[in-house]
Amino acid sequence: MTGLPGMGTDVLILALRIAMVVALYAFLLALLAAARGDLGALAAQRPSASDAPASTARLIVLAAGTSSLRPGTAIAVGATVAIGRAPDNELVVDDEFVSAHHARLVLHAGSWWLSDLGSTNGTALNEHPLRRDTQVRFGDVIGVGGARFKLAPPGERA
Amino acid sequence: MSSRGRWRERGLLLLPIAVLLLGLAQLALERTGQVQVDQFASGLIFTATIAAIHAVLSWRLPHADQQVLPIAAMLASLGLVIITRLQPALALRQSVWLVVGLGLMGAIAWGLPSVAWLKRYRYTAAALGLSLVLATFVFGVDPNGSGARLWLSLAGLYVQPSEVLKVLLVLFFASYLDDYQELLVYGGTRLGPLRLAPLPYLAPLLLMVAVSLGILTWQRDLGAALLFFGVFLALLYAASGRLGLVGLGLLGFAAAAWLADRLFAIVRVRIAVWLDPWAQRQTAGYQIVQALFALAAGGVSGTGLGYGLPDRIPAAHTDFAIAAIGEELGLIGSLAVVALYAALVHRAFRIALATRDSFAALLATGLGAVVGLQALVILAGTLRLIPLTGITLPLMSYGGSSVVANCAIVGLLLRVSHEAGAVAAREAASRRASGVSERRRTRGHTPATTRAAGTTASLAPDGSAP
Repeated sequence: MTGLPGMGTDVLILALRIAMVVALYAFLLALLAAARGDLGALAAQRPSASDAPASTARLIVLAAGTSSLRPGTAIAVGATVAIGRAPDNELVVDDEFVSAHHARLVLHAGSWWLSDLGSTNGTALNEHPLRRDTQVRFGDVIGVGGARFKLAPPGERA
Repeated sequence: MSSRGRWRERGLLLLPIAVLLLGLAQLALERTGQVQVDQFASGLIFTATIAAIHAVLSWRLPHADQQVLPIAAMLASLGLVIITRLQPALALRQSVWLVVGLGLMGAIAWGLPSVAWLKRYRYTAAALGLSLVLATFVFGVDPNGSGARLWLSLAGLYVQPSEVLKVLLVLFFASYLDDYQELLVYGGTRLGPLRLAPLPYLAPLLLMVAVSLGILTWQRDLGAALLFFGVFLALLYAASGRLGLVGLGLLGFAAAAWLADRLFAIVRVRIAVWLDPWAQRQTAGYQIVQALFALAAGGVSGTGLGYGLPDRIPAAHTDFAIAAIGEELGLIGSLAVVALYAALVHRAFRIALATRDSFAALLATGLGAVVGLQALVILAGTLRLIPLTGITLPLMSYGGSSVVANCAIVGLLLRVSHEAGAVAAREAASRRASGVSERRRTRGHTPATTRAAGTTASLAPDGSAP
């Protein structure tokens, strides 16, 4: 119940209007300031995030064969990946045409190398049978049994 | 434990409350020449609820984003002011809807087992959303004479299922695309310069898109159809990073638009009104012509609350809220609204970037896209930049379903940001404790374990069982 003496309602309404716009834009400015600080913090984080990569590469399941792998999943791998049906492999592929210790993928001097470990049905690189240890590049497709994996660079997210 | 408190949120929240009370005070003065407590009922209800939500967040979700709730509150405040201006009788109802919506927001942010838990229920979510919309075919009602039966009547309340479907479809898309992300990027067959993802994996997704678009188009809910398709493309791009797929989608959209123009009279009318509203200014173009008059009358600073004539615009308190804002708060007010939506989308994408769980990231991206696109579709429609399709202005428009659905979106964003913040805080603490960041060697035993390893191990076990 404010009937301020000596001050017209119009003046009061005008003051309220101005106060409302000030509050609205103070809010937007506060958001802007927060976004700026946020971007600064993000830029400061970047180098520390890159010096500890979570994995050295990913193997992307393109085809599962008869294994229980699911096509489309990405498997983060370390510097040595033993591939085979036995549970002591880093990458267990329970496909019926995969040997217990089938193949090995090793990171050596900055490049990936694929070797067949004397498997029964052989290992394929880009659908060609692997005859000797061969360098693998990102994007190449590794085949063991019915399963196919693509070597991909480590993702930003695990 | 970093419990800095949610001081930024508390400070920011004062401003939406101030805007709401200042707006209500202006309206009270303009109408009656004095200010009485009962004219602030809706404002006080809203303020109390916001304070309660803030308390819950401070107590249970200390790591949640601190700007999302204030932005949502500012949009809701402006909405409440403009509804009080246009339909005083509905203001109290809207504040009650906001209480329900904010309650759901808090329940989602606090009560959800985990974001990963949601991922498992993608087919449940999609089926629920679609069956709700399908129910409008049988039980649909048209309470406000818009010519389309898009509402369900439940115990005296009207529910608009397409608003619910909006949230559930984003959930479905994010969950599905997260599982098949790699296939979309690397796999598939070539078709000329385009690499297409293998059809068996794409089919359920495309089917879902086709079914929802088909239903909505059949119901003449073109705004919702446009929105869903836009969100689908945005998420497809976010998941695959391939503009080719988006281009293909846009081509499909162009074809669908051409077909719709041929098949549906309502589309032809909308396009004709868009091109020349003045030709039908007393009939089909009336609403948009009145909106343009309102915006022109408002100018830069507006007429002041209560001094314009926005009541002439049909549906000014729902779809056309921005025209009423533009008339009475001026360009200053309407630009602030646009900036608020931009800020909300920015926060959603920022939350997506901060989380390392790819499903949560896609979910936040999709939720940001759905709010941003919805605002864009109706704002641009009101300003006659694109053909008008009736859809609510998120968080501002009058309407229970819309308010509750958009509050749920904000709740999900809060939860996603809290989980990411909790993981980051724990990692920072363990780094400080051990000096070196402990690294878990991933053993490629099953895909499910490798995906979850090292990221959200204890908090959010990835629910994708092989």
